[in-house]
Amino acid sequence: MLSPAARKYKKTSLSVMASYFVLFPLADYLALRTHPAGVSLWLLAAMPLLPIAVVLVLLGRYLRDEKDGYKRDLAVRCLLWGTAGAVMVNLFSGFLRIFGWKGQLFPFTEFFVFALMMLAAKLSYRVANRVPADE
Amino acid sequence: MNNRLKVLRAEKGWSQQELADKLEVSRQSINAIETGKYDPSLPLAFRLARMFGKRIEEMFDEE
Repeated sequence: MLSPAARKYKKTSLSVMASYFVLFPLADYLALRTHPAGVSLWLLAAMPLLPIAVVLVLLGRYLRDEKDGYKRDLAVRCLLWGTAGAVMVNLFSGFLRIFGWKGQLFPFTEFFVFALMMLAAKLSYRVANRVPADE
Repeated sequence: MNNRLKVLRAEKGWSQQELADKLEVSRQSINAIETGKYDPSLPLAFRLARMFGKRIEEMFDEE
């Protein structure tokens, strides 16, 4: 059973993440069509980040509003591991490039790594949240 | 931290869910406290003690 804070977070974050699936392809399409440079390129690259930034703010609010200390503690640990995984993998690919790797990564690798790590965080939360039958 | 929560709850004949509902926390919280995976916050510890008519020191014991 979801707490009021969790229900509120789930309801709002789902609609925000749905907008991601509009902004991301739109930004990709505009990049291919308009070949932006300078400030336009930077703004276009920032566009798909907006829903992610909003979800992170919502997560912060959830952690503030969640009254159940155990669930809050568990959520923080799972998010930390997920974020750490995403940061480590993306840093690794960055260092590869800095140190001279000339290979090509799969397109949108950083995005997929981030999405995968957040999914892993969510799944680990679900697994850790399971309890034996009530006694 | 060791605690007597499970024993005290059994004496009252309450399930974990019933206790969780009375305290407005999740059953996962109650289970985690009983199994020693999680130490309750001070406000929750006080509420638990009041619920069972005990002092905190009678319910929780440092390892």
